[in-house]
Amino acid sequence: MGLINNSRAKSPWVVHFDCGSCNGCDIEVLACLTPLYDIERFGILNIGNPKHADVLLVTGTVNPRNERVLRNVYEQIPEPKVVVAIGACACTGGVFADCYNVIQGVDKIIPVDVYVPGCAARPEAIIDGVVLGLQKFQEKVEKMNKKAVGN
Amino acid sequence: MGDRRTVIPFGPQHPVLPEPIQLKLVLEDEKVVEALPQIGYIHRGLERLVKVRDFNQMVFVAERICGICSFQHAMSYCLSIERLMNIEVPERADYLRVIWSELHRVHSHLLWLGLMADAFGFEAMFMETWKIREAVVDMMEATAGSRVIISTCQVGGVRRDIAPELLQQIVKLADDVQRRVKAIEHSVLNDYTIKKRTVDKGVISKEQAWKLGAAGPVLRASGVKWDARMIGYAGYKYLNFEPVVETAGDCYARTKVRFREMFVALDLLRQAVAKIPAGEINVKVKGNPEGEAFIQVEQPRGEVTYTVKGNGTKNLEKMHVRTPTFANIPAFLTMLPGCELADVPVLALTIDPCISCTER
Amino acid sequence: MLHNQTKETNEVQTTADKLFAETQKLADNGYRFIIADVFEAEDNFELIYQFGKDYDATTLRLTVPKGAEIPSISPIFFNALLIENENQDLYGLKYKGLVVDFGGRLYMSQDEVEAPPQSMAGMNVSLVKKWNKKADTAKKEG
Repeated sequence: MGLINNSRAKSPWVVHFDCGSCNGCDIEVLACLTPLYDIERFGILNIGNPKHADVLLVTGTVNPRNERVLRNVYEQIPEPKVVVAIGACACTGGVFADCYNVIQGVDKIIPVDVYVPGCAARPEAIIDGVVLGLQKFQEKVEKMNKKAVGN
Repeated sequence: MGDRRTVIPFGPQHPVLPEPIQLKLVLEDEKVVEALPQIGYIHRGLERLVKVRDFNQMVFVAERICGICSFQHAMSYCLSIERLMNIEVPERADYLRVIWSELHRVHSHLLWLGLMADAFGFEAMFMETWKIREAVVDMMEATAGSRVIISTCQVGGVRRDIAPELLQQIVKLADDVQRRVKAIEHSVLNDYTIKKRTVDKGVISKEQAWKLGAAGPVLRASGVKWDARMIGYAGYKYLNFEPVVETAGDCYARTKVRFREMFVALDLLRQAVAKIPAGEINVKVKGNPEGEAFIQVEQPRGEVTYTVKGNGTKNLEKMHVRTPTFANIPAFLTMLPGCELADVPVLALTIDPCISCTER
Repeated sequence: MLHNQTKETNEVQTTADKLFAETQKLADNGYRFIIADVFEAEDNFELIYQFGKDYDATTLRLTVPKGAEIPSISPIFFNALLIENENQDLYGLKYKGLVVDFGGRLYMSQDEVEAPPQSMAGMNVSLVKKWNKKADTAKKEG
């Protein structure tokens, strides 16, 4: 358990879910993976399957239809997990906060650990956010390890 | 045969789809027989924001309809308001609009090429195209201060000027990108795997494409010579170019059209830099919009139309946007029956879907 | 009057009864359907249908009272189905003869379409939906 969780913290796999983003933040998330920003140097890998993932990156506004999908993806990720809300829309609803089909913020649906501001969030900010998320992840792992030892 | 049918939900969260859309695919073994889209995952309802935001503020909302072609959304919106208010935009602003539009086109097509490569499983090509794209995005940051949503368009012109040294940099960038894209083009268009997976896949005939209202590269790959830029909005009326047309109408033709369009866009950039006059970049806007306007603008994915209605107050009465992917979905649905399940991602990508545009 | 970028569009006034025939005439003349728009007034809707041929645009304009049924043009132009479903969602318009009827749930609900259409190519499809199964069967029987 200790070994697995520790290696998860050293090389976290992220899954990206686009709730209702304008693509601006999405392409910046993808840009993080590409040679210039290259988050793979932190051991971070982007994958498609939420069951393999440790970190959930959410971009865009939530609406009543994709809320269910978001919750579904979140629940499929094994514990411990970290959620990073990327961009103004994911944090608060952004410019679309007043629209009738928008829920103001991802944190109304699932617990969020890190908020990355910006419209669109810059790759540097996203990397900062993910790295901050990793610290939280480490804390969660330690908490779990303690529990395991306590038992 | 009825009992051998399987319904496969494709999406909303799927590795090749950057955005949530669900396709319900009815399969007979590996063959798709029917397809039904289920959209609405990104619907925000931003068109109703016209009641709360005034017509100047709406520019910022309009450019957030889509983060990839954001400048063109802002420009289309501004063009429609300018049409209502009979505003003459200074010539330099017209040229600057062309420059930013074409930068967006190049970056969008490169982005698409990367995603396409990713769908094929060509990871290295994805990285390579996005590396080239990074240079274009850097130029947007240098000229506008932001990488993706550049917010330079306003009603009556543009907000920022581009300095002469930077304009020369754009020409240099165009040459550089052209060289690097040429190198990729050769290996993409002659690759055995790519040919195998794209040639004669998802064929749309010329008549079908026109009748189904397909837009942009999908329309032109089927042999219809139609490009909204020929209408001559913004600075396009001063520049020389020909719409890129292919006749095969399959995935390979659509790939080819996008490659060639990139070169046309780079050429337009060079022309615009060479011809750009000195002068003002915006005019003062007085009064409120009144009347109806219908504007067609060519985006990287195809033709976008803006219908706006003003009633003489600072809030518009109605704004409606029909985006290229909205127009291409019917064409996509007719492509799907008959193809194999493994081809669906490639077919989906050749219409270059932008769901956030579609649903607004 | 609608303004294009460069000129005014040709405009034709029509009524709900004549809409289908007018559309058919345009289709026969090689026009394509671009978009339909709705302007909402207090007790009626103003509908605008845009058609295009080469770089010209032609507009069909009609006014219908709220609650009236409008003939769908999607049997002629398949691509009209998305916008007509959208209008059904967002404005509560009623279309008669929609090729694929999402029943006002294209954008606006958590409910999913239960079964795919039996034949997309045949273009005469009605969907069975979770949320208005009863209403649908009643309509079909009636």
